[in-house]
Amino acid sequence: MSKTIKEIREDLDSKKYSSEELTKDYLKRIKNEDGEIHAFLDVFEKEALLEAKDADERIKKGEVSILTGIPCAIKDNILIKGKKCTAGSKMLENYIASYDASVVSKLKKQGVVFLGKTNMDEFAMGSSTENSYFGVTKNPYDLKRVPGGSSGGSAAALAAEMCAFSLGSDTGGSIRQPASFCDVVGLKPTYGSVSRSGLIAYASSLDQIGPFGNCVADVKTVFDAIKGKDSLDSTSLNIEGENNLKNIRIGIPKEYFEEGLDSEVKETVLNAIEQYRERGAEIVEISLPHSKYALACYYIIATAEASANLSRFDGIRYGFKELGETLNDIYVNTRTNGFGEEVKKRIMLGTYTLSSGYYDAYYKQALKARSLIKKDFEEAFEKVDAIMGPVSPILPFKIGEKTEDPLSMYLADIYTTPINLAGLPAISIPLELSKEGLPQGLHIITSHFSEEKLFKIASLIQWKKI
Amino acid sequence: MIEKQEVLKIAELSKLKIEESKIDKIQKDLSQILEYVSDLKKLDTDNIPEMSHSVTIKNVEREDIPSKYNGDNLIEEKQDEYLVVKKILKDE
Repeated sequence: MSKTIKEIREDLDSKKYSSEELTKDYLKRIKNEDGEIHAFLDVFEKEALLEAKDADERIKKGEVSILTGIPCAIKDNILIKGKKCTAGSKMLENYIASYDASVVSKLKKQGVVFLGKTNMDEFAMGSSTENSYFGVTKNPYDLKRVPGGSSGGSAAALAAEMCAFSLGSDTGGSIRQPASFCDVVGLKPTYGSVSRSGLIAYASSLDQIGPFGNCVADVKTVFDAIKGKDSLDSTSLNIEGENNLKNIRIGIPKEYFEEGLDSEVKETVLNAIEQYRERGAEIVEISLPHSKYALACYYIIATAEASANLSRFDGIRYGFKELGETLNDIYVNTRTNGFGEEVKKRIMLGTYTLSSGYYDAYYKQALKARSLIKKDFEEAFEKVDAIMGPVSPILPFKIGEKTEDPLSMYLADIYTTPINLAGLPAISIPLELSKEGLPQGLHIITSHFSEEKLFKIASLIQWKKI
Repeated sequence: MIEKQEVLKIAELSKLKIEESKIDKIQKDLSQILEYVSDLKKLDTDNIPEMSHSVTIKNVEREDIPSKYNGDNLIEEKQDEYLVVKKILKDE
Protein backbone atom coordinates (compact mmCIF):
# COMPACT_ATOMS: atom_id res chain seq x y z
CA MET A 1 0.00 0.00 0.00
CA SER A 2 1.22 3.47 -0.87
CA LYS A 3 2.60 5.65 1.90
CA THR A 4 1.23 9.04 2.81
CA ILE A 5 3.41 12.16 2.89
CA LYS A 6 3.13 12.20 6.69
CA GLU A 7 4.45 8.63 6.92
CA ILE A 8 7.31 9.33 4.52
CA ARG A 9 8.16 12.51 6.46
CA GLU A 10 8.41 10.51 9.68
CA ASP A 11 10.50 7.79 8.01
CA LEU A 12 12.90 10.33 6.46
CA ASP A 13 13.26 12.31 9.69
CA SER A 14 13.87 9.18 11.77
CA LYS A 15 16.43 8.02 9.14
CA LYS A 16 14.51 4.82 8.45
CA TYR A 17 15.58 5.43 4.84
CA SER A 18 17.07 8.39 2.99
CA SER A 19 15.45 10.51 0.31
CA GLU A 20 18.07 9.09 -2.08
CA GLU A 21 16.99 5.52 -1.31
CA LEU A 22 13.33 6.49 -1.65
CA THR A 23 14.00 8.27 -4.95
CA LYS A 24 15.88 5.22 -6.26
CA ASP A 25 12.88 3.07 -5.33
CA TYR A 26 10.50 5.30 -7.27
CA LEU A 27 12.88 5.45 -10.26
CA LYS A 28 13.04 1.66 -10.22
CA ARG A 29 9.28 1.41 -10.14
CA ILE A 30 9.05 3.84 -13.05
CA LYS A 31 11.52 1.69 -14.99
CA ASN A 32 9.56 -1.49 -14.25
CA GLU A 33 5.99 -0.23 -14.55
CA ASP A 34 5.95 2.74 -16.88
CA GLY A 35 6.84 0.85 -20.05
CA GLU A 36 3.28 -0.41 -19.97
CA ILE A 37 1.40 2.47 -18.29
CA HIS A 38 3.21 5.37 -20.01
CA ALA A 39 2.42 7.99 -17.38
CA PHE A 40 5.74 9.81 -17.87
CA LEU A 41 6.96 11.79 -20.88
CA ASP A 42 10.33 12.55 -19.29
CA VAL A 43 12.14 11.09 -16.26
CA PHE A 44 14.92 13.08 -14.57
CA GLU A 45 16.98 10.21 -13.20
CA LYS A 46 20.24 12.10 -12.60
CA GLU A 47 18.78 15.37 -11.35
CA ALA A 48 16.25 13.63 -9.09
CA LEU A 49 19.06 11.77 -7.31
CA LEU A 50 21.02 15.02 -6.90
CA GLU A 51 17.94 16.74 -5.48
CA ALA A 52 17.44 13.79 -3.13
CA LYS A 53 21.04 14.05 -1.91
CA ASP A 54 20.55 17.77 -1.28
CA ALA A 55 17.38 16.97 0.64
CA ASP A 56 19.24 14.39 2.72
CA GLU A 57 21.80 17.08 3.60
CA ARG A 58 18.99 19.38 4.70
CA ILE A 59 17.43 16.61 6.77
CA LYS A 60 20.81 15.93 8.41
CA LYS A 61 21.09 19.61 9.31
CA GLY A 62 17.51 19.69 10.55
CA GLU A 63 16.49 22.29 7.92
CA VAL A 64 13.33 20.45 7.06
CA SER A 65 9.98 21.53 5.61
CA ILE A 66 7.08 19.14 5.30
CA LEU A 67 7.91 18.23 1.67
CA THR A 68 11.73 18.10 1.86
CA GLY A 69 12.99 15.01 0.04
CA ILE A 70 9.53 13.85 -1.08
CA PRO A 71 9.48 12.73 -4.75
CA CYS A 72 6.78 14.07 -7.07
CA ALA A 73 5.68 14.16 -10.69
CA ILE A 74 4.56 17.27 -12.61
CA LYS A 75 2.08 17.52 -15.49
CA ASP A 76 3.84 18.47 -18.69
CA ASN A 77 2.09 21.83 -19.07
CA ILE A 78 3.82 23.24 -15.95
CA LEU A 79 7.27 24.72 -16.56
CA ILE A 80 10.43 23.44 -14.88
CA LYS A 81 13.43 25.58 -15.90
CA GLY A 82 15.80 23.84 -18.30
CA LYS A 83 13.40 20.96 -18.92
CA LYS A 84 11.23 20.21 -21.90
CA CYS A 85 7.62 21.25 -21.54
CA THR A 86 5.55 19.76 -24.36
CA ALA A 87 1.93 20.16 -23.19
CA GLY A 88 1.48 16.82 -24.96
CA SER A 89 1.89 18.54 -28.33
CA LYS A 90 4.14 18.20 -31.34
CA MET A 91 4.05 22.01 -31.34
CA LEU A 92 6.24 22.05 -28.21
CA GLU A 93 8.04 18.73 -28.70
CA ASN A 94 11.44 20.36 -28.27
CA TYR A 95 10.47 23.44 -26.27
CA ILE A 96 12.66 23.98 -23.21
CA ALA A 97 11.25 26.02 -20.33
CA SER A 98 13.26 29.16 -19.61
CA TYR A 99 11.86 29.67 -16.11
CA ASP A 100 10.12 27.81 -13.29
CA ALA A 101 6.37 27.97 -12.84
CA SER A 102 5.59 29.67 -9.51
CA VAL A 103 4.28 26.39 -8.06
CA VAL A 104 7.55 24.68 -9.04
CA SER A 105 9.63 27.47 -7.40
CA LYS A 106 7.64 26.99 -4.22
CA LEU A 107 8.19 23.23 -4.22
CA LYS A 108 11.91 23.70 -5.01
CA LYS A 109 12.29 25.95 -1.96
CA GLN A 110 10.96 23.11 0.19
CA GLY A 111 13.47 20.67 -1.34
CA VAL A 112 11.01 18.49 -3.23
CA VAL A 113 12.46 15.85 -5.59
CA PHE A 114 11.20 16.09 -9.19
CA LEU A 115 11.00 12.62 -10.76
CA GLY A 116 9.68 13.70 -14.13
CA LYS A 117 6.95 15.19 -16.32
CA THR A 118 3.67 13.41 -16.96
CA ASN A 119 1.57 12.74 -20.03
CA MET A 120 -1.60 14.70 -20.81
CA ASP A 121 -4.15 15.42 -23.52
CA GLU A 122 -2.63 17.92 -25.94
CA PHE A 123 -2.87 21.42 -24.40
CA ALA A 124 -5.07 19.84 -21.69
CA MET A 125 -7.90 19.34 -24.19
CA GLY A 126 -9.49 16.00 -23.50
CA SER A 127 -10.93 13.68 -20.88
CA SER A 128 -8.89 10.51 -21.49
CA THR A 129 -5.21 11.38 -22.24
CA GLU A 130 -5.78 9.80 -25.66
CA ASN A 131 -5.16 13.16 -27.34
CA SER A 132 -1.46 13.25 -26.43
CA TYR A 133 0.91 13.48 -29.41
CA PHE A 134 3.16 11.08 -27.48
CA GLY A 135 0.66 8.23 -27.13
CA VAL A 136 -1.99 7.20 -24.64
CA THR A 137 -1.51 6.61 -20.89
CA LYS A 138 -3.14 3.46 -19.53
CA ASN A 139 -5.19 3.10 -16.38
CA PRO A 140 -3.16 1.13 -13.79
CA TYR A 141 -6.38 -0.57 -12.63
CA ASP A 142 -7.12 -1.92 -16.11
CA LEU A 143 -4.60 -1.42 -18.89
CA LYS A 144 -7.32 -1.58 -21.53
CA ARG A 145 -8.93 1.52 -20.08
CA VAL A 146 -8.15 5.23 -20.02
CA PRO A 147 -6.84 6.96 -16.87
CA GLY A 148 -9.09 9.94 -17.49
CA GLY A 149 -7.81 13.31 -18.56
CA SER A 150 -6.40 15.64 -19.23
CA SER A 151 -4.03 15.08 -16.26
CA GLY A 152 -4.13 11.30 -16.84
CA GLY A 153 -0.35 10.88 -16.52
CA SER A 154 -0.20 12.55 -13.09
CA ALA A 155 -3.11 10.45 -11.78
CA ALA A 156 -1.76 7.18 -13.21
CA ALA A 157 1.79 7.86 -11.93
CA LEU A 158 0.46 8.26 -8.39
CA ALA A 159 -1.97 5.32 -8.63
CA ALA A 160 0.87 3.04 -9.81
CA GLU A 161 3.03 4.26 -6.90
CA MET A 162 5.58 5.90 -9.20
CA CYS A 163 5.60 9.11 -7.09
CA ALA A 164 4.41 10.29 -3.66
CA PHE A 165 2.23 13.08 -5.04
CA SER A 166 1.75 14.90 -8.31
CA LEU A 167 0.49 18.15 -9.80
CA GLY A 168 -2.09 18.54 -12.52
CA SER A 169 -4.26 21.31 -13.94
CA ASP A 170 -8.05 21.45 -14.06
CA THR A 171 -9.97 23.54 -16.61
CA GLY A 172 -13.19 21.53 -16.71
CA GLY A 173 -12.43 18.46 -14.59
CA SER A 174 -8.88 17.57 -15.65
CA ILE A 175 -7.74 16.81 -12.08
CA ARG A 176 -10.94 15.45 -10.53
CA GLN A 177 -12.00 13.08 -13.31
CA PRO A 178 -8.60 11.29 -13.62
CA ALA A 179 -8.40 11.17 -9.80
CA SER A 180 -11.79 9.44 -9.83
CA PHE A 181 -10.72 7.06 -12.65
CA CYS A 182 -7.40 6.16 -10.93
CA ASP A 183 -8.56 5.86 -7.30
CA VAL A 184 -6.59 8.80 -5.86
CA VAL A 185 -7.60 12.12 -4.28
CA GLY A 186 -7.57 15.18 -6.57
CA LEU A 187 -8.23 18.84 -5.75
CA LYS A 188 -9.33 21.66 -8.05
CA PRO A 189 -8.66 24.74 -5.87
CA THR A 190 -10.72 27.93 -5.93
CA TYR A 191 -9.88 29.98 -9.03
CA GLY A 192 -7.15 32.41 -7.97
CA SER A 193 -5.86 30.51 -4.96
CA VAL A 194 -2.89 28.99 -6.84
CA SER A 195 -0.71 31.01 -9.22
CA ARG A 196 -0.99 30.15 -12.91
CA SER A 197 2.38 31.67 -13.76
CA GLY A 198 4.26 29.05 -15.77
CA LEU A 199 1.17 27.01 -16.64
CA ILE A 200 0.67 26.70 -20.40
CA ALA A 201 -2.73 28.33 -20.89
CA TYR A 202 -5.78 26.53 -22.25
CA ALA A 203 -8.71 28.67 -20.99
CA SER A 204 -7.38 31.34 -18.67
CA SER A 205 -10.58 32.14 -16.77
CA LEU A 206 -11.02 28.45 -15.89
CA ASP A 207 -7.49 26.95 -15.57
CA GLN A 208 -6.21 26.12 -12.10
CA ILE A 209 -3.25 24.03 -10.90
CA GLY A 210 -3.92 21.49 -8.14
CA PRO A 211 -2.53 18.41 -6.39
CA PHE A 212 -3.13 14.66 -6.56
CA GLY A 213 -2.47 12.72 -3.35
CA ASN A 214 -3.01 9.35 -1.71
CA CYS A 215 -5.22 10.89 0.96
CA VAL A 216 -6.98 14.15 1.80
CA ALA A 217 -4.20 15.18 4.22
CA ASP A 218 -1.57 14.82 1.44
CA VAL A 219 -3.61 16.98 -0.91
CA LYS A 220 -3.99 19.59 1.84
CA THR A 221 -0.23 19.55 2.49
CA VAL A 222 0.61 20.13 -1.17
CA PHE A 223 -2.14 22.72 -1.60
CA ASP A 224 -0.78 24.65 1.41
CA ALA A 225 2.67 24.52 -0.19
CA ILE A 226 1.63 25.94 -3.58
CA LYS A 227 -1.22 28.37 -2.76
CA GLY A 228 -1.11 32.13 -2.27
CA LYS A 229 -0.92 35.43 -4.07
CA ASP A 230 1.85 35.72 -6.64
CA SER A 231 3.00 38.95 -8.25
CA LEU A 232 3.43 37.02 -11.52
CA ASP A 233 -0.30 36.15 -11.74
CA SER A 234 -2.58 39.16 -11.31
CA THR A 235 -5.61 36.89 -10.82
CA SER A 236 -4.06 35.15 -7.81
CA LEU A 237 -5.42 36.08 -4.40
CA ASN A 238 -4.95 35.57 -0.67
CA ILE A 239 -8.45 35.17 0.66
CA GLU A 240 -9.70 33.15 3.59
CA GLY A 241 -13.19 31.81 2.94
CA GLU A 242 -15.83 30.67 5.39
CA ASN A 243 -14.18 27.67 7.05
CA ASN A 244 -16.26 27.25 10.19
CA LEU A 245 -17.88 23.89 10.57
CA LYS A 246 -20.39 23.01 13.29
CA ASN A 247 -23.51 21.28 12.12
CA ILE A 248 -22.84 19.99 8.64
CA ARG A 249 -25.52 20.39 6.04
CA ILE A 250 -24.84 18.64 2.78
CA GLY A 251 -26.75 19.52 -0.36
CA ILE A 252 -27.54 16.88 -2.96
CA PRO A 253 -28.47 18.51 -6.28
CA LYS A 254 -31.27 16.53 -7.86
CA GLU A 255 -29.95 17.49 -11.30
CA TYR A 256 -26.75 15.48 -10.64
CA PHE A 257 -28.60 12.19 -10.27
CA GLU A 258 -30.77 12.27 -13.35
CA GLU A 259 -30.56 10.55 -16.72
CA GLY A 260 -27.10 9.70 -18.01
CA LEU A 261 -25.62 8.63 -14.67
CA ASP A 262 -24.37 5.04 -14.50
CA SER A 263 -26.54 3.12 -12.03
CA GLU A 264 -23.61 1.55 -10.21
CA VAL A 265 -21.84 4.92 -9.79
CA LYS A 266 -25.12 6.37 -8.53
CA GLU A 267 -25.50 3.66 -5.92
CA THR A 268 -21.90 3.97 -4.68
CA VAL A 269 -22.12 7.76 -4.42
CA LEU A 270 -25.46 7.61 -2.55
CA ASN A 271 -23.94 5.04 -0.17
CA ALA A 272 -21.05 7.40 0.58
CA ILE A 273 -23.50 10.23 1.26
CA GLU A 274 -25.43 7.87 3.54
CA GLN A 275 -22.24 7.45 5.60
CA TYR A 276 -22.26 11.19 6.16
CA ARG A 277 -25.83 11.00 7.37
CA GLU A 278 -24.83 8.26 9.83
CA ARG A 279 -22.10 10.56 11.14
CA GLY A 280 -24.71 13.18 11.94
CA ALA A 281 -24.64 15.33 8.83
CA GLU A 282 -27.94 16.70 7.63
CA ILE A 283 -28.61 15.74 4.02
CA VAL A 284 -30.91 18.02 2.03
CA GLU A 285 -32.03 17.87 -1.57
CA ILE A 286 -31.24 21.05 -3.45
CA SER A 287 -31.64 22.27 -6.99
CA LEU A 288 -29.09 23.84 -9.32
CA PRO A 289 -31.61 24.69 -12.04
CA HIS A 290 -29.08 25.83 -14.65
CA SER A 291 -26.93 22.69 -14.43
CA LYS A 292 -28.19 21.39 -17.74
CA TYR A 293 -26.68 24.40 -19.51
CA ALA A 294 -23.26 24.19 -17.85
CA LEU A 295 -21.57 21.83 -20.29
CA ALA A 296 -22.65 23.85 -23.33
CA CYS A 297 -21.60 27.05 -21.57
CA TYR A 298 -18.22 25.51 -20.72
CA TYR A 299 -17.46 24.32 -24.24
CA ILE A 300 -18.25 27.75 -25.70
CA ILE A 301 -16.18 29.70 -23.17
CA ALA A 302 -13.26 27.27 -22.97
CA THR A 303 -12.86 26.96 -26.74
CA ALA A 304 -13.25 30.71 -27.25
CA GLU A 305 -10.46 31.38 -24.76
CA ALA A 306 -8.38 28.58 -26.28
CA SER A 307 -8.68 30.03 -29.78
CA ALA A 308 -7.18 33.27 -28.46
CA ASN A 309 -4.57 31.65 -26.18
CA LEU A 310 -3.28 29.30 -28.85
CA SER A 311 -2.84 32.03 -31.45
CA ARG A 312 0.66 32.48 -30.00
CA PHE A 313 1.72 29.22 -31.65
CA ASP A 314 2.51 30.73 -35.01
CA GLY A 315 5.93 29.31 -35.94
CA ILE A 316 7.66 32.53 -35.00
CA ARG A 317 7.76 32.60 -31.22
CA TYR A 318 7.82 29.06 -29.85
CA GLY A 319 8.64 25.51 -30.72
CA PHE A 320 7.64 23.83 -33.95
CA LYS A 321 8.09 25.77 -37.15
CA GLU A 322 7.18 24.86 -40.71
CA LEU A 323 8.47 27.21 -43.38
CA GLY A 324 6.48 28.62 -46.27
CA GLU A 325 6.56 31.15 -49.05
CA THR A 326 4.82 33.94 -47.18
CA LEU A 327 4.32 34.86 -43.54
CA ASN A 328 0.75 33.60 -43.74
CA ASP A 329 2.02 30.28 -45.14
CA ILE A 330 4.35 29.93 -42.15
CA TYR A 331 1.44 30.47 -39.75
CA VAL A 332 -0.85 28.07 -41.56
CA ASN A 333 1.74 25.36 -42.22
CA THR A 334 3.06 25.49 -38.65
CA ARG A 335 -0.36 25.32 -37.05
CA THR A 336 -1.76 22.73 -39.45
CA ASN A 337 1.14 20.35 -38.86
CA GLY A 338 1.91 21.23 -35.24
CA PHE A 339 -1.55 20.86 -33.64
CA GLY A 340 -3.45 17.60 -33.23
CA GLU A 341 -7.02 17.05 -34.42
CA GLU A 342 -8.84 17.77 -31.14
CA VAL A 343 -6.91 21.00 -30.59
CA LYS A 344 -7.69 22.17 -34.13
CA LYS A 345 -11.34 21.33 -33.63
CA ARG A 346 -11.51 23.37 -30.41
CA ILE A 347 -9.66 26.32 -31.95
CA MET A 348 -12.14 26.28 -34.83
CA LEU A 349 -15.11 26.01 -32.49
CA GLY A 350 -13.85 28.97 -30.47
CA THR A 351 -13.12 30.97 -33.58
CA TYR A 352 -16.63 30.29 -34.82
CA THR A 353 -18.43 31.34 -31.62
CA LEU A 354 -16.34 34.51 -31.42
CA SER A 355 -16.77 35.45 -35.05
CA SER A 356 -18.93 38.28 -36.29
CA GLY A 357 -22.56 37.22 -36.58
CA TYR A 358 -22.29 34.43 -33.99
CA TYR A 359 -20.68 36.27 -31.07
CA ASP A 360 -23.97 37.38 -29.47
CA ALA A 361 -25.77 34.09 -29.96
CA TYR A 362 -22.99 31.92 -28.61
CA TYR A 363 -20.21 33.65 -26.67
CA LYS A 364 -22.18 36.49 -25.11
CA GLN A 365 -25.05 34.15 -24.27
CA ALA A 366 -22.57 31.76 -22.60
CA LEU A 367 -21.16 34.58 -20.45
CA LYS A 368 -24.68 35.34 -19.27
CA ALA A 369 -25.41 31.67 -18.62
CA ARG A 370 -22.20 31.60 -16.58
CA SER A 371 -23.66 34.27 -14.27
CA LEU A 372 -26.76 32.15 -13.73
CA ILE A 373 -24.73 29.00 -13.04
CA LYS A 374 -22.62 30.82 -10.46
CA LYS A 375 -25.76 32.28 -8.87
CA ASP A 376 -27.24 28.77 -8.49
CA PHE A 377 -24.22 27.81 -6.38
CA GLU A 378 -24.27 31.03 -4.35
CA GLU A 379 -27.91 30.44 -3.44
CA ALA A 380 -27.19 26.81 -2.56
CA PHE A 381 -24.30 27.75 -0.27
CA GLU A 382 -26.61 30.02 1.71
CA LYS A 383 -28.37 26.83 2.78
CA VAL A 384 -25.65 24.15 2.86
CA ASP A 385 -21.96 23.77 3.77
CA ALA A 386 -21.08 21.46 0.92
CA ILE A 387 -22.54 19.93 -2.20
CA MET A 388 -21.96 16.28 -3.06
CA GLY A 389 -22.44 14.16 -6.15
CA PRO A 390 -20.59 11.96 -8.64
CA VAL A 391 -17.36 13.15 -10.32
CA SER A 392 -17.96 11.30 -13.56
CA PRO A 393 -21.26 9.96 -14.87
CA ILE A 394 -19.50 6.82 -16.09
CA LEU A 395 -16.82 4.36 -14.98
CA PRO A 396 -13.37 4.49 -16.65
CA PHE A 397 -14.01 3.65 -20.30
CA LYS A 398 -11.99 1.59 -22.77
CA ILE A 399 -9.20 3.11 -24.81
CA GLY A 400 -10.64 4.05 -28.21
CA GLU A 401 -14.26 3.73 -27.04
CA LYS A 402 -15.11 7.43 -27.37
CA THR A 403 -12.52 8.83 -29.73
CA GLU A 404 -14.84 8.70 -32.75
CA ASP A 405 -17.68 10.53 -31.01
CA PRO A 406 -16.45 13.83 -29.55
CA LEU A 407 -19.78 14.74 -27.95
CA SER A 408 -19.91 11.54 -25.90
CA MET A 409 -16.39 12.34 -24.65
CA TYR A 410 -17.45 15.89 -23.73
CA LEU A 411 -20.41 14.51 -21.75
CA ALA A 412 -17.92 12.86 -19.37
CA ASP A 413 -17.29 16.38 -18.00
CA ILE A 414 -20.92 17.10 -17.17
CA TYR A 415 -20.49 17.32 -13.35
CA THR A 416 -17.02 18.86 -13.26
CA THR A 417 -17.32 21.80 -15.69
CA PRO A 418 -19.90 23.85 -13.68
CA ILE A 419 -17.35 24.11 -10.84
CA ASN A 420 -14.76 25.79 -13.08
CA LEU A 421 -17.36 28.16 -14.51
CA ALA A 422 -18.26 29.23 -10.97
CA GLY A 423 -14.59 29.22 -9.85
CA LEU A 424 -15.32 26.98 -6.83
CA PRO A 425 -13.04 24.51 -5.05
CA ALA A 426 -13.89 20.81 -5.39
CA ILE A 427 -12.28 17.50 -4.52
CA SER A 428 -12.57 13.95 -5.83
CA ILE A 429 -12.40 11.22 -3.16
CA PRO A 430 -11.97 7.55 -4.08
CA LEU A 431 -14.91 5.30 -3.18
CA GLU A 432 -15.08 1.52 -3.25
CA LEU A 433 -14.22 -0.18 -6.54
CA SER A 434 -17.04 -1.20 -8.89
CA LYS A 435 -18.03 -4.86 -9.33
CA GLU A 436 -15.58 -5.01 -12.22
CA GLY A 437 -12.82 -3.55 -10.03
CA LEU A 438 -12.91 -0.04 -11.49
CA PRO A 439 -12.39 3.15 -9.46
CA GLN A 440 -15.14 5.73 -8.89
CA GLY A 441 -15.16 8.98 -6.97
CA LEU A 442 -17.22 11.26 -4.76
CA HIS A 443 -17.30 14.94 -5.73
CA ILE A 444 -17.40 17.42 -2.84
CA ILE A 445 -17.81 21.14 -3.58
CA THR A 446 -17.66 24.08 -1.16
CA SER A 447 -17.86 27.86 -1.49
CA HIS A 448 -15.03 30.12 -2.75
CA PHE A 449 -11.76 29.90 -0.78
CA SER A 450 -13.23 27.36 1.65
CA GLU A 451 -10.67 24.65 0.98
CA GLU A 452 -10.13 24.15 4.73
CA LYS A 453 -13.80 23.32 5.14
CA LEU A 454 -13.60 21.07 2.09
CA PHE A 455 -10.70 19.12 3.63
CA LYS A 456 -12.49 18.84 6.99
CA ILE A 457 -15.64 17.45 5.39
CA ALA A 458 -13.68 15.13 3.08
CA SER A 459 -11.78 13.76 6.11
CA LEU A 460 -14.90 12.98 8.15
CA ILE A 461 -15.33 9.56 6.63
CA GLN A 462 -12.62 6.95 7.02
CA TRP A 463 -11.83 6.30 3.37
CA LYS A 464 -10.18 2.97 2.57
CA LYS A 465 -6.76 4.37 1.65
CA ILE A 466 -6.18 6.48 4.73
CA MET B 1 -25.43 21.34 -40.03
CA ILE B 2 -22.98 24.08 -40.84
CA GLU B 3 -22.06 24.55 -44.48
CA LYS B 4 -18.81 23.25 -45.92
CA GLN B 5 -18.02 26.80 -47.02
CA GLU B 6 -18.38 27.92 -43.44
CA VAL B 7 -16.00 25.24 -42.20
CA LEU B 8 -13.39 26.47 -44.67
CA LYS B 9 -13.97 30.06 -43.60
CA ILE B 10 -13.45 29.20 -39.90
CA ALA B 11 -10.29 27.26 -40.79
CA GLU B 12 -8.98 30.30 -42.63
CA LEU B 13 -9.69 32.57 -39.67
CA SER B 14 -7.98 30.03 -37.39
CA LYS B 15 -4.91 29.93 -39.68
CA LEU B 16 -5.43 26.24 -40.33
CA LYS B 17 -5.64 24.25 -43.53
CA ILE B 18 -8.00 21.29 -43.74
CA GLU B 19 -7.19 18.38 -45.99
CA GLU B 20 -9.94 17.67 -48.51
CA SER B 21 -10.40 14.15 -47.09
CA LYS B 22 -11.00 15.44 -43.57
CA ILE B 23 -13.53 18.16 -44.29
CA ASP B 24 -16.59 15.89 -43.98
CA LYS B 25 -15.55 14.57 -40.59
CA ILE B 26 -14.79 18.04 -39.19
CA GLN B 27 -18.02 19.41 -40.62
CA LYS B 28 -19.92 16.59 -38.91
CA ASP B 29 -18.10 16.97 -35.55
CA LEU B 30 -18.45 20.75 -35.43
CA SER B 31 -22.12 20.55 -36.39
CA GLN B 32 -22.84 17.98 -33.70
CA ILE B 33 -21.18 20.11 -30.99
CA LEU B 34 -22.74 23.36 -32.22
CA GLU B 35 -26.14 21.73 -32.19
CA TYR B 36 -25.57 20.64 -28.59
CA VAL B 37 -24.37 24.04 -27.40
CA SER B 38 -27.24 25.77 -29.24
CA ASP B 39 -29.40 24.59 -26.36
CA LEU B 40 -28.17 27.69 -24.56
CA LYS B 41 -30.25 29.85 -26.87
CA LYS B 42 -33.37 28.58 -25.06
CA LEU B 43 -32.18 30.18 -21.85
CA ASP B 44 -33.83 33.49 -20.96
CA THR B 45 -30.96 35.86 -20.20
CA ASP B 46 -32.70 39.23 -20.37
CA ASN B 47 -31.10 41.58 -17.84
CA ILE B 48 -28.50 38.99 -16.83
CA PRO B 49 -24.97 40.43 -16.71
CA GLU B 50 -22.14 38.80 -18.65
CA MET B 51 -19.52 37.12 -16.50
CA SER B 52 -16.06 36.56 -17.91
CA HIS B 53 -14.33 35.92 -14.59
CA SER B 54 -15.58 33.86 -11.66
CA VAL B 55 -13.97 35.64 -8.71
CA THR B 56 -14.36 39.38 -8.28
CA ILE B 57 -10.93 40.95 -8.46
CA LYS B 58 -9.57 44.43 -8.34
CA ASN B 59 -7.10 45.88 -10.77
CA VAL B 60 -3.55 45.04 -9.74
CA GLU B 61 -1.10 47.92 -9.89
CA ARG B 62 2.53 48.32 -8.95
CA GLU B 63 5.05 51.13 -8.90
CA ASP B 64 6.40 51.79 -12.39
CA ILE B 65 10.03 50.96 -11.70
CA PRO B 66 11.96 49.49 -14.62
CA SER B 67 13.93 46.34 -13.95
CA LYS B 68 16.41 44.58 -16.17
CA TYR B 69 15.59 41.11 -17.42
CA ASN B 70 18.41 38.93 -18.62
CA GLY B 71 17.00 36.82 -21.40
CA ASP B 72 20.31 35.75 -22.93
CA ASN B 73 19.50 32.10 -22.36
CA LEU B 74 16.44 32.51 -24.58
CA ILE B 75 18.42 33.69 -27.57
CA GLU B 76 19.42 30.95 -29.95
CA GLU B 77 21.72 32.99 -32.16
CA LYS B 78 23.09 36.51 -31.86
CA GLN B 79 25.19 38.74 -34.12
CA ASP B 80 26.60 41.79 -32.33
CA GLU B 81 23.53 43.30 -30.68
CA TYR B 82 21.06 41.73 -33.14
CA LEU B 83 19.08 38.52 -32.97
CA VAL B 84 19.45 36.11 -35.87
CA VAL B 85 16.06 34.76 -36.95
CA LYS B 86 14.78 32.78 -39.88
CA LYS B 87 13.67 34.76 -42.88
CA ILE B 88 9.92 35.22 -42.87
CA LEU B 89 9.30 37.63 -45.73
CA LYS B 90 9.58 37.00 -49.43
CA ASP B 91 12.07 38.91 -51.61
CA GLU B 92 10.27 41.35 -53.85
